[in-house]
Amino acid sequence: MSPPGRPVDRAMHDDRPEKMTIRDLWVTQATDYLADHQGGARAQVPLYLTLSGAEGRDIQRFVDAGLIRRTEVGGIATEDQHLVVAVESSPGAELALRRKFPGLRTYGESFHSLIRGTGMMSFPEKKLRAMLRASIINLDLTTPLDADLSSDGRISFPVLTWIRKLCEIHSESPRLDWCLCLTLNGDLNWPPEVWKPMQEFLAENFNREPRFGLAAQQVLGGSLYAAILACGADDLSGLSADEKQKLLMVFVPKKITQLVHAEGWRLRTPYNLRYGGHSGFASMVTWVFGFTWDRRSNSSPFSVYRDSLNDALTAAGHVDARGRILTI
Amino acid sequence: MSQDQSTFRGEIKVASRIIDYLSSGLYPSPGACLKELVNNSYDADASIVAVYVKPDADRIIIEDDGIGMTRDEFVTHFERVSESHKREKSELTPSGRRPKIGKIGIGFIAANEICEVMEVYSTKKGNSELLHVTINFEEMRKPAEERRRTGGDFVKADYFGEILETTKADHYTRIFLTGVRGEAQNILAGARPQSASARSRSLYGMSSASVQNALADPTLKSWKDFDSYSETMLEVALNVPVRYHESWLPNPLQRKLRDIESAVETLGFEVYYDGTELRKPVVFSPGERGALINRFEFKGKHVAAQGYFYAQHGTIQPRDLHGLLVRIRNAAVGEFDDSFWGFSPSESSLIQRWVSAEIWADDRLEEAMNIDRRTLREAHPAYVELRDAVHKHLRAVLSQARSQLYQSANVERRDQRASVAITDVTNVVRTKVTQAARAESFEKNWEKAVEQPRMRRALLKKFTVAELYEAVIESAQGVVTEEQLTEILRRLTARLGA
Repeated sequence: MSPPGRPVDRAMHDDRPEKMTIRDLWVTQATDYLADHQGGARAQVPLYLTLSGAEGRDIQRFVDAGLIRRTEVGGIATEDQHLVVAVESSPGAELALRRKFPGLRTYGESFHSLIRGTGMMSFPEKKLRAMLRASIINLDLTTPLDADLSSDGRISFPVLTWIRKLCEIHSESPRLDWCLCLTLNGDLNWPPEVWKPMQEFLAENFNREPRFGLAAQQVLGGSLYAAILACGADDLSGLSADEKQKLLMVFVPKKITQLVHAEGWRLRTPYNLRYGGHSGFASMVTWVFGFTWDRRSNSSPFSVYRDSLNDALTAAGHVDARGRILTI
Repeated sequence: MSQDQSTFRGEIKVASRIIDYLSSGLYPSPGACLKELVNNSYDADASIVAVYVKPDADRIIIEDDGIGMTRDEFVTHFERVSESHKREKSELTPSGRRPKIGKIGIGFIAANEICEVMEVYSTKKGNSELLHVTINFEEMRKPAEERRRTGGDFVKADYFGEILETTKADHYTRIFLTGVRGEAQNILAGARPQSASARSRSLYGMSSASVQNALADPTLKSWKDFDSYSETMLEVALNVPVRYHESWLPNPLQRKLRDIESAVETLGFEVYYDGTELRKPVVFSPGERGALINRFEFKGKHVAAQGYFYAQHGTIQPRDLHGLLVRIRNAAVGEFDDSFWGFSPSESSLIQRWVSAEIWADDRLEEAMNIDRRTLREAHPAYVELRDAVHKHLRAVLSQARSQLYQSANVERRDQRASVAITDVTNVVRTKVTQAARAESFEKNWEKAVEQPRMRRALLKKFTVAELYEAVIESAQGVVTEEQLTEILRRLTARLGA
């Protein structure tokens, strides 16, 4: 019941410079979105849906930035209650959030349950579905990118499937552009059955899309790039923490692009950053993705795919211990 | 009930005499259900209770820092709702400071009237066990035949429990109400339209000082001028043993009730509703009009009670405060009753609306209280005795209000109007009589004349036209000639017709 102690709460409780920089990115993103998208169908959906943890530090930053107004007693102002939604499966953490922000809309279940798992035939209905059409969704996870292996050998990544489902939900009429803030633990605990196809998948794309390949080489470094291109290793779990972070920075945008471009979504990646992994802090990777519907998708979906891919690593970098963003 | 080390399940049995009340809707409003849960926290010696309702009231949380309960206590409590487990060991809460409000333990299942599922997390200090129970109220909506058990009892709902772990220092009860039902949800969230004249004012998010100001607003006619969220908040605040507002009465009157304020403060009970501290929503703001306090003390054969009667010059607003409110063990029995327990409506009917009374009765009146905690059995000796005492006292208060507020206010008003009339006449003479010496002479006589009470009364008298002619003729006769009088009357007629 007590919220403290969960990794997510420890992580969100952190006010170390890296995390503060990341939270500032989220606020910037929201400010930009509000400036660019006023009224219309967007007024019917939340601005911000977050897995904020018990502390709600990101919500506090939104409040501090004036994006969300508060009442005399610190609650969320009636006029702004539609703007923010927190998803929190722990009753203790949910209560902590309501204590800190009375009037905050909370959903007391896991995001996995909220989005009805990873099946592409099962979606939330009505109110929940509308809520998941939020303009900015912040999946600030402390878990690594897990992979599921089906009996027929197919590999799927539950978190990435959630994103595909979110794209599907945002595709409904009226289609809404949206933004995803995604944070994952930088560790990779895949079995060999995943490592091998993952290398093949990336190597094929490095070859097919030279611009992407070149950018990936810059991010990964020569030797790791060459190793992936060679597809020689059965298992890359022995990579250093930094190398695993870099691998994720390349793999995740690529995979999301592949999953959603056919639906007409052009992916922009304004932030692709790694941080932590030192001084006892967990190794993390974080992205800000913008999903916009591209009219070209009907006639030339491959152009949409290529543009998304070419953009995936242009803002790659890392946040140092002082909170500075250093691009590659 | 099956049991193993960490999980358990069972049935909540409710005595048949209670099930009828529950099935027909024991509580008239969602607020009445919520206050039961808040009063449970009070009985658990909580000092702070927080209720979270907004934004949608689809998932309501009630949290207290009370002593909590163990699995055994929970099971004992729900094994058969109707037996007085709550006061089995003591009439007082464990701290010994508060008389327990709850009696038969029905309050905990009050939630079944507003939601489908209630989850309870509770732990006691010094115990690392965290009780987690999920109660499913759907069972109660099944036909009575399916619910009936042997011995005339009914299964109220099934529950499933588990024991989790927490730190030994923790002590609390946290209740999550989910699946809040349509109309109740609308009322609690403030989404239900109020009266046609409602201006949709809301108390959400206000500090207690702002709530006090909102309640003192002279344009507030009724709590229904607020949205239903706020009305529910006020309903809960009126019932539970929270403090009064800082300035709930004009200062001189408030000083007279300091002992009553202190008695409530001593209970040390605070309730926060979406962050707003609840105070008794009893705020009187007579403005410039007069007001009085009359203490009530009664010691009878069947009951004793004390409290106050407040009266002001003019109808009490909001009208929700007009009438009589009785508290037993610091919790209100229903709302203000504007009939004063059946006082003759024709007796000083106007001034009755100027009066508001709060009375704390002793435990003997509790025996007269019906299971709904809102009404009293009118044939019960304690009720009858207290009603008669209240009526007698009310008569005295009405008489006092008539003499102190109504009549004295009348004299004051008459004096004010007479002064205005004197000034007006003086001004007319000064304007119309051109010779200053003559005007001065008139003023001397005039000032002397208006000192006479008879003359001051005459100043406010309304004259008919015939009386005016009569006065002019009588005054002029013997002073002016017949010819001049005829001319004066001609001019007067022309002036009046102009």
